[in-house]
Amino acid sequence: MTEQKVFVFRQENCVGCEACTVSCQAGKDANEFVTLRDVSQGEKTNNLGREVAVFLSQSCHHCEDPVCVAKCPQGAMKKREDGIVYIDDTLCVGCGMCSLVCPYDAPKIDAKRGILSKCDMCKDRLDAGEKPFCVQGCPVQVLDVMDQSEALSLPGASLSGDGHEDLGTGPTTVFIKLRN
Amino acid sequence: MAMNRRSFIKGSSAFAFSASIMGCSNSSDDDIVEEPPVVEPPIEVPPEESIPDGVYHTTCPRNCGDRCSLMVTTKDGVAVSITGDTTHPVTAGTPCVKGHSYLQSVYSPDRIQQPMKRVGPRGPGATFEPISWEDAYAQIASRLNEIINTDGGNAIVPYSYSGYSGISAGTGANRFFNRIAGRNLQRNICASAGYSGMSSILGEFNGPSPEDYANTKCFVSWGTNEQATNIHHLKFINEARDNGAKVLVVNPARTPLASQADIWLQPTPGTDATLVVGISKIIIEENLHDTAFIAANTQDYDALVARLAEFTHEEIELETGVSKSEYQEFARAYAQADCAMIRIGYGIQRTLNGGRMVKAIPTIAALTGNIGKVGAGVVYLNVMSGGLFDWGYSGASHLTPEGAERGTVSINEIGKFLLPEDYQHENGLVGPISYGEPSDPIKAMIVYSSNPMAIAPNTDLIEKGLMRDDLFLVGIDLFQTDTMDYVDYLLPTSSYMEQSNLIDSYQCYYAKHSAKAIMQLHDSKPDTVIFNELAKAMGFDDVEFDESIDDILRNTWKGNISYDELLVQKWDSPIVDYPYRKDLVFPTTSGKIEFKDTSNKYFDSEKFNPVIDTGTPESNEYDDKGMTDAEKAREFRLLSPAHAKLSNSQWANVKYIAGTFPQHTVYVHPSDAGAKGISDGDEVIVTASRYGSADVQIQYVARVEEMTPKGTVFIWKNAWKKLNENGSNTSVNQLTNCDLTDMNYGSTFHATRVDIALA
Repeated sequence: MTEQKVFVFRQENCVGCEACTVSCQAGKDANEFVTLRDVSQGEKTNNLGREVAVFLSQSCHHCEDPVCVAKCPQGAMKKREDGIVYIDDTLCVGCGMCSLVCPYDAPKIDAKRGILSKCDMCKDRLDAGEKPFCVQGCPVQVLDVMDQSEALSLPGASLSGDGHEDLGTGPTTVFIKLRN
Repeated sequence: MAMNRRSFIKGSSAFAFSASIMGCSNSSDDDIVEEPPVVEPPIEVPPEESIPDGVYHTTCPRNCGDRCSLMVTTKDGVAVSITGDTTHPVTAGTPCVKGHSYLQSVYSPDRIQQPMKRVGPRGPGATFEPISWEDAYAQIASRLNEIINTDGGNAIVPYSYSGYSGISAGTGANRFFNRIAGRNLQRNICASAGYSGMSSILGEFNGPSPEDYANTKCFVSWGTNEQATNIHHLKFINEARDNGAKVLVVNPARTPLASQADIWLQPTPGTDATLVVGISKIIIEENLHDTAFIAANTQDYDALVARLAEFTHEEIELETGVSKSEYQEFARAYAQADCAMIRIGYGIQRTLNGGRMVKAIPTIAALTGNIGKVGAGVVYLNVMSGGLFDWGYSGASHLTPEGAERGTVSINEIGKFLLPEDYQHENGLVGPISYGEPSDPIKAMIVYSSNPMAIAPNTDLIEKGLMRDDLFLVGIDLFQTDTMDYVDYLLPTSSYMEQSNLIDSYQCYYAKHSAKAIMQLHDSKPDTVIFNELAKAMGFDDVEFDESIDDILRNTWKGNISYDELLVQKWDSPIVDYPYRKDLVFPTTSGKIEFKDTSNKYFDSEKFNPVIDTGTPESNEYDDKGMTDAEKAREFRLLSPAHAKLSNSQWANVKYIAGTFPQHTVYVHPSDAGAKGISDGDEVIVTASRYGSADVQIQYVARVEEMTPKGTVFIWKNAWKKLNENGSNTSVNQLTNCDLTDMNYGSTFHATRVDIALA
């Protein structure tokens, strides 16, 4: 059994520059404004009592129980043996059901393609021994991809982060937090 | 944690964050290369038939001191991917967010593809028709020669900055303007005030390398935004942090690193020198200073102590808006660290008291001996790598005819020196002025590597000049920018991938080569080729205008390895004794760190306190580098620093960047917004009092967020007017101050106050 592959995100070091987003778009030659990884800003009160910004970079979380796979009427959304959830473009008809049911808004309606687009963890690059575009493209090195057990054994590993929690689908992204 | 997913603003369009007050997307040169001398070759060797497919090492020439090493892969002559060079010690395996969209810029359908001549009125909406290079050269040469014959070369000025840095692009223009004895342009739009401020106390502004940040136990980010400027340094800062270092941030803006810092001081803009007084007082009061270091390596410590005694903590708290307990904690963390590193950004200095604020900051390093050892020091800007180039060769200043009289104008005063000859100033002067004095008229300007209608201060004043019927304007650019709407001739330049280059970093210590990876696209030509060919069309037969770009690069290189070795090695570094300044001999008059400077070399010590001057744009009189009374009367200070997705005005129109961030947006503190009845997303009018206009207004969208302290609003710098989504054709630099800094004629964008109201 191949182990689940997961994203690792060291949120405490993310500065929200969106290099991951654009690296992904450019690498995949995405249509304009179609983003398979998004960065958002939230605010929180830090331990000094100040309102500070915190950044969340997220794509598909390649859930353990992906509702998009369950609900796709065409069977176009698939989960590989290594846990990567991807769209079979030959089966997708662009109905948008996956986008509707995903609690993380991962599948994106891509009007120009007429079908959905979603992060596939750059499975073809992974298969070729390369990192996904977003991981390679982060100048602050806050993203990585690895086997789930390895990721969860990292110091400070957790399945939740600022602005992120399990909304019922078993998202696999591992957050790293080493500082208070 | 008082936050959940719902509190996040989803989507990149809502993206927010920050910049430091200053992160300027750096800019190189200023003084250092005061107009990298121009050199020129005439016509480039006819283009090669093709460039073999391969992977080429290139270096980003935009305005950033990181100078990314980028590997461009080509297939069938087309660049198909761009990635970071994993072997580069600083930029490593990836560019910044902008660099990821380089191919979208190079292959943009919006590229200017052929020479164009304007056929309608100047300004927004101007229409152009194609013209051949030959005809364009002939017509431009004819007009320039006419001006030279009538008014002299001094009536022709270049306007350029950092659109394409390095030897390749600038050499042609520099040689050309030397040959015609054109007006000199003092390119002090970025860091110059800080050069003087730093030099006033340390004798220099160079410092440790970014790699050394990883070794520190206390990193101080003062007036910079690492996310927008030098983002690759963050991995070193985080590495230090993982090894136990504290991160301290001083910034009126909530930068990402400020949000992540162990201590973040958020002073009222302009009060940094007073904050340094407070920190210094704590260091001495709590006996945290290094008396042996002070005795051996500093001068006028007694004068510093006396100066500090003039302030009470209550006064400091009131002035800076920072509580004593906060700066006390900062002082302790800094002084008690085994080694502490201060990075001063380029941005803090871009205000009327910029030089004085920067001068004050190294005081705390001198008090604690945090200099001259691993993981310690103060760094502003590193220009050492430029020492590997023979700028004199590339510039060829000998081309200037003997006896030619060449005046100098400031890049920051383009609005003032281009004014019509009958322009009536409020102070009684008439016509164009420069450095406060009447100035000979400019009859022609060639704009290249810059976009003044977006990046220069007080663009309404600039427009008065650009609209002059008697001003001949030539523009060289990749795109139809705001500025290019005014030119008579529009010439298409080639992107950096279409020509080779030599370029110095200005944070890292590396001087780098950049290969020509693809053939020139469309009917474009590199800037140097354009200027060489124009020189020939004007009748100049100097051999400098026959030198190819590759020969210029080869002949300009004077590194530690041969040029051919450089092509293989990709970069080279000057030999720097390290740890930086470890001999503790400083390039000051005394050889020591000088707390008190009465040399009058950098500033008038009768006007400004020679130890630490705490005057601000709001407290000083206008003649002493304060704002005008009209400016002071506006309710809010405006900060306009750099965004991570722009390098000055570049990338604003590029796929994957354009339309993805809040560019024409003004950030308002929730308290201020509440008082003004402004809600998130409201259209607002922002009004300033500018030179030449009592009320200048822009229309932006409000964003209510704690980006700044109360009383300060925030706008990302250098937006294009024509890209303002609401169609108002307005942008931030209509509002910004075009006066000059307290030291070294720098820009004063941040010395701007505004009022804000619902539209």
